[in-house]
Amino acid sequence: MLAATMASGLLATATPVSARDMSQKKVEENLTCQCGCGLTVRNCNHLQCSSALPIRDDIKQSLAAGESGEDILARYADTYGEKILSAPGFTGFNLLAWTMPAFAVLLGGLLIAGVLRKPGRHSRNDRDPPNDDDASADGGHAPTGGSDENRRRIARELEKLPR
Amino acid sequence: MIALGTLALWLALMASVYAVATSVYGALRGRADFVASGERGAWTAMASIVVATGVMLQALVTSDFSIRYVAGYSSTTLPLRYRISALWGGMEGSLLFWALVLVVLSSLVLWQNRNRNRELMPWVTATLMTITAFFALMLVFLTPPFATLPFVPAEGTDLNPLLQNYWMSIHPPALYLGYVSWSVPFAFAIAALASGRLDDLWIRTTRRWVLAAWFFLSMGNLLGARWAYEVLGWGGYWAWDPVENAAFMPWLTGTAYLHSVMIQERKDMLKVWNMVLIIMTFLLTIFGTFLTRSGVISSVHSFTESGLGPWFMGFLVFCLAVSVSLLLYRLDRLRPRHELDSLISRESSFLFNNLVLVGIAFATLWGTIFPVLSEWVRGVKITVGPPFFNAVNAPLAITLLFLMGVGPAIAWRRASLANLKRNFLGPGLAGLGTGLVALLAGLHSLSAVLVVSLSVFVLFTLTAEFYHGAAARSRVTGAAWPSALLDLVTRNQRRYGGYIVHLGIVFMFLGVTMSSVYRVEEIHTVDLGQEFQIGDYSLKYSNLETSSDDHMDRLIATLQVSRGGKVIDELKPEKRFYRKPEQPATEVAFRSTLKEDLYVILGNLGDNETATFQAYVNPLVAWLWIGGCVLALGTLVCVLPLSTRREQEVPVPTAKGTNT
Repeated sequence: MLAATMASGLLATATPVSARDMSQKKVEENLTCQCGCGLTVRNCNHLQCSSALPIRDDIKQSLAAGESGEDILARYADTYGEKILSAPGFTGFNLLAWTMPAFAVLLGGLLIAGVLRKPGRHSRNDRDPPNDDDASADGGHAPTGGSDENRRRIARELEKLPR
Repeated sequence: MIALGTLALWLALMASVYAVATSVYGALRGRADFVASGERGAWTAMASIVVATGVMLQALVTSDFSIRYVAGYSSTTLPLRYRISALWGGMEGSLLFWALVLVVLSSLVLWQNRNRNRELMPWVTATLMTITAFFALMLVFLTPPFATLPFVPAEGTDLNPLLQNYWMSIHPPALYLGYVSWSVPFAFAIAALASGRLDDLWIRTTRRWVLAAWFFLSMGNLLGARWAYEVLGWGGYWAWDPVENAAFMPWLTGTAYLHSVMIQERKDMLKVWNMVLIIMTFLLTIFGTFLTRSGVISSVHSFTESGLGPWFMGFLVFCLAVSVSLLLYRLDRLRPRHELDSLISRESSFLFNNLVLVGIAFATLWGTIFPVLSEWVRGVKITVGPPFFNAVNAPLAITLLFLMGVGPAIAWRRASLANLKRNFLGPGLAGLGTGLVALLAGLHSLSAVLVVSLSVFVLFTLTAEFYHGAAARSRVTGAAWPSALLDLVTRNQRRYGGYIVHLGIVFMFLGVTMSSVYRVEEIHTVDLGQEFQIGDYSLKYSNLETSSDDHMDRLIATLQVSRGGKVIDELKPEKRFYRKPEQPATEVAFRSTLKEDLYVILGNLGDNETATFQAYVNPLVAWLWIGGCVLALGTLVCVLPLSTRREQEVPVPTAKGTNT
């Protein structure tokens, strides 16, 4: 169930707008404004920005002329360098950007699986000690009246009493 | 006064170094007199930082432009509240403010523990004073806040206009409180390792500190997002800027720690992992400070690039080395008493929760530093921006939402089929049903459908927890429902406060997803008197006026907002031109409802008062802020002493009939 949720999340990154709008919006989101704001061309908030506004116009005209979004991104990368793209590509060294997080999560998952496969060791008191701040999910929610710390304290106090 | 401030910083440095040395020596040799002397050194360091801060505040309030910092970040025309907040507006002042927050919190720790935890306290003092000494070192030698100018200018340069708003008064202090507060549980963790006192004493002692740190870091992040939304004028609230990421990462690992520490308290497991988490969280707070000050990664939030980068990196490495060494030294004694029994259990769901949270933290860290790595390896500058972070983190976040529904309701140790059916069949069906309805209603984005379905799933499991708990309480005590519910919450604050926090997170998920996926945007250039449409709204550009004061010139456009032919509101977006420094800025106008925000930015102005407007409709974005408020409420429920139960000593009759 967990894996299914994660997998379905992986598929869930598309933005549901019309094909033409998606190209304009998606291209703008995949280019970084060069004015120094650190935002994408789509989101640059500088008034009369000398970078974002001309780029947006160029994208609009290029799409209208039949150029694809991918070609526009490639053209800008050739002109300005890879730094204008808002995300690393999927080739060469840049592939490491995308694969490392997945690898890290997978490794973590394997570690957890490895821990779970160890034979269980239990203390002599096998029952889960109920806690005054949390009742067992199986046992219902009636308050139990004492925490571990309180029980230990009671035990210590009782030991002090003369027998 | 300048001399007093400088002297105070020197004294803070010397006293904190003294406190570290005497506390460590006292702890190692069992010398209570040295430990006490170390605490006196700590108090001296704390008082000195307070004095230095007082001197700086006085200089800012009185506009003492002989001090370079005051001249650079203030002016005589700056309103008083911004002259005060200029304390954290620049590099030197922000480091002084960090030190101030640290010593105030340290003094609270020392005072709270003046008669308890004596085995741990020398090491706690040493750790906190080591951090204090580092910041004092920066302030004395590298970024002296009281450096003077060779001449005294008649007027200061003023505070950046983007920082001249009320968010500046609350966002940085909340964020700094969040960052710095993690020093306290870190100090206790180091103390536990150094002293060998490896039971759960340090965890119980720092429980409220952890909640407070997490609360302030949550609020710091949220307030920053709200500031970006209200002020920066791009219609959004989170840009995956490196400095935003730097505040987000410790929040993620801190959240993981908050959850997994419950396993250690109840089951005596995950001791090493919890140590790793608290160390990681503290180191990430230092890393965040390093990012904003080193110039290694460019960011709109960055302070001026300085030479502090290598020092912060050195301190980071030092803290990592000491922490790891101590952890390895005590590794044998941190072995768990229990092991995990089953994949399908609450313990496992907490582990997976940790995996996802730390996974998101790693992905965010990796994306943040990858441009540096790329330049170092290939010599090529690249950008890692929102498309990367959204693509990588979205599936993990959705998984986290799922786990939020599972964790509270699944059984400890091993969940039976009966338990799974009883606790999850109803919520599961509700979630699936909602997903189907959403698809039929026209929600075609898979991410939106998943978030909506899982949100309903989580809401149902949370409701069931409250319902079953209150019902059981009512049955046992005979109390009426409202009373039983209140009693349930006050008797189990951590549990039900945590559920309220989860509810807040669900609201935030809905707000973020819907406002991101279904945002509508329009750009229109209109003449005065003309209308344009966006969504259900019709906006009429009805007026343009100007206004001036000492500080700025303003152009204010008036838009009449109509829906269904009826005027419902008026919005006034602005363009501002600040005099000092000469800088234009935009002031957005927005109308917020539970359903959506209508958000308008005034763009270019042409001849004859022609204006360009950028308008957005952001669905459900208000639920992001509502979720933040619910999260705050839930945290307060966890932390505040709401229970009326009190411990009372009573005489216990002995066998001989006398009382003890």
